[in-house]
Order: sequence, then structure tokens, then C-alpha cells
Amino acid sequence: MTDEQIVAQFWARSECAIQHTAERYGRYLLKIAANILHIHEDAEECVNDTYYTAWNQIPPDRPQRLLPYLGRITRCLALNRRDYLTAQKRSADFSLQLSELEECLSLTETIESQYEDGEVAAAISAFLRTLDKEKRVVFVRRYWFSDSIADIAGRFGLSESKVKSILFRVRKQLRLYLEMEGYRI
Amino acid sequence: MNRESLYLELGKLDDDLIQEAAEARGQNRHRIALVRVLSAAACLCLICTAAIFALRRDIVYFNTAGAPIASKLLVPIDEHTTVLTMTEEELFAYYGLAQFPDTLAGLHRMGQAQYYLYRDAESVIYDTNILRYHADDGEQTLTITLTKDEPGEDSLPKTEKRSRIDGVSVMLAVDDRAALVYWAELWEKDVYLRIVAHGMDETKFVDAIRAIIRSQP
Repeated sequence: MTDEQIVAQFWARSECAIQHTAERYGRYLLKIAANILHIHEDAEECVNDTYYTAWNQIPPDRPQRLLPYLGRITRCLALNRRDYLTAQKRSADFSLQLSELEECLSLTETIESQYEDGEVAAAISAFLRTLDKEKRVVFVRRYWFSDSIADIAGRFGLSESKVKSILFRVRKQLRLYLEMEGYRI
Repeated sequence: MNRESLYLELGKLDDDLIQEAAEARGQNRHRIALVRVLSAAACLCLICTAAIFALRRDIVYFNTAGAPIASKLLVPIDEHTTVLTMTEEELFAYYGLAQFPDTLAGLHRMGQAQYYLYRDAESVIYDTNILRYHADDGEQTLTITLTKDEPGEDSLPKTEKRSRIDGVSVMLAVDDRAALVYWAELWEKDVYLRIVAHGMDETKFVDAIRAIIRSQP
């Protein structure tokens, strides 16, 4: 079943839409949630909330690609849920991902900058398009899908040190790119 | 912007980038697996080829040993012994061999009307026969002795170094005490072959042995 057909079912308010979404994307969404929360029950609940949110948002939304659309919802829900957890329960691996991202932040700017919603993301997307495919997908897998280094290495047949090296270089390049584009984040 | 808000901002990356990263797995894995399988297959082929070459490569070593003397042999016959005569075709059929080439390393086979087989009431007691080849000028000769019996006492000891021609183990020897005589012993389908050459050089002699081996299916 195609994304278009599933979205049509959402619009027709057919409950099959949820079933088909779960069959097609359930595994992806669970992985994204689990990468952030690291607790299976929480991740499952998060995925169910994703279906519920999608049910409420489609219509009026009509996403062209369901995976990024649903993934974004799962990601937001997982992050919100994570905020409720105590510091002791936080995933060490996810905290590591966040600390890695600090390298992309400006070293000089101390006052929080305000940009329009999605403006920085559009700049990062543009930057990612300048990279070769391997670097781009490794970066996205790490910071969008929240995959662990080991998972990425296994997925692409790379060594873990190679993955770390790619991520390190891309983060440095991203910071320079954003600064050159005038972003102080 | 702090790291959390940057992480959230990354969540808004373009759809096609997300889709690409989601689908990247299969393609890469298959390619890596394919490359690994092909590499392993190529290595295996290389090893097999090298092994085949190593096994098929001729190893030629001539021991130094006196050539066997073509003496008359005493056949243990008595009144019950019968002598069977055979044509050339019957001879090769008896030994279970394919016909040897009419020409070996430039030497032609001498025609011979009959070959012999000595039998008693129960079994064959003597089956040694000789095929002869010679050059047109008569300077070079090659004799091939065939028997299903064990080789005589004048055969080369098993401790001598063996050669390998076309994958067949052969005992080669040279007798240079007077005239240069090359000789060889080998087993082909349970038949003992002794090949003795006079007036031939080493290369030609080995060529003749190779031709005999290759004549057998």
C-alpha cells in the first residue's frame, strides 16, 4: 500500500489507515522512539501516540511522504516524554548525541538567537546536500533517527571509528557553514 | 539556541533527506554483501587455479640408475601351459588400455604380427609384451614393456625421487655409463609400463611419456 493510499484512508476516516501505517512504518517509528527513550514500553506508547496524533492531524495535513512526517511526530513525542523522565533515567547514548551537537553551535554567541521556524533546518538541509551521500545519510541516521554509532556502522558496513570520524568532520563543517551563512546559533 | 533546540530543529530536515537515509541501508548492505561474496569467489577461483596449476605442473627429475638389461626371461611353463596369441587390438583390450599413438615424439611404431599370453589351467602366468618405436634413421628407439605382473628386480627402488608428468607419478632414470639411455616406470590402470629410450634426448623422451599418458582417457 502506497503512502498516497494510506493518506487517502486517513482522509476517509477509515481505521484501516492506522493498521496499514503500523504495518508499513511501525518498526521504523519504534526504532526512532527507542533510540531516544531506551525503554521499550515507553517507546511503544510513543508510537501509539504517533498514530493518534496522525489521526488528528490528517486531515487537514496531506503529507507527501509518511515516513518523515510520522517520524517527526514520534521524535517530538519521544523528546517530550524524555523531558518527563528523571535525569537518572536519561539515556547515556542520547545525551551523548546532544553533547555532540554542541560542536555545531556557535562558540561566540551567548544570547539566544531567534530564527523563523524551520529556517535553521532549511540551512542544514542545504548544507547536507553539499555532502556526498555516505556522509549525509550517516549524519541523518545519527541526528534524525538517533541511531547509535554501532547501529550505523553495522548498517553501512563501516567501522565505528570511521562513523565517528565522519560525524566529527560533518559537525565541524556544519558549524562553519552556518557561520558563513550568517547564522549564530 | 541550545543543543536540545538544535536537535529539534534537525527534526525539520527536508523529507527527501530523511527518506534517503531510511532507504540507504538495503542498497549498501546488498552491495557490501555482493562485493564480499564476489571477492570470496574470486579468491576461491584463484586458489583453485593455483592448486590445479601446481598439481598439473610437470615435475621432472632423472635419477641415475643402470638401465634394465633386456634379457630373456624364463617363463614358468609346463605341460599344462597354453600360449595365446593376440592381435594388437586384443593386446590393448587385455590390458584395458586405449591404443597408444602410432607415433611418439617422432618415432613410429614397428608393426608386430602377434603378442603372447601364457596361461595355465586357471590363470595368466606371464603377460609381458613389448611395443617398439623407432626413428626413420634407426638412430633412436623406444621400447614400451607392458605387464600386469609386479615389476622385476631390475626396476627402480621406491626410495628414488619420483617425477610427475600430466599429473601421473613417474619414475625417471638416466644411465650414462656407456650410451645415454633414458628409462621410465609408471603404472597406468594397474598395468606396469617400462619405457626405455636409446638415442633420444631428455626433452623428447619426456614428450613421448606425456603422449602415452595423454592417449589414455
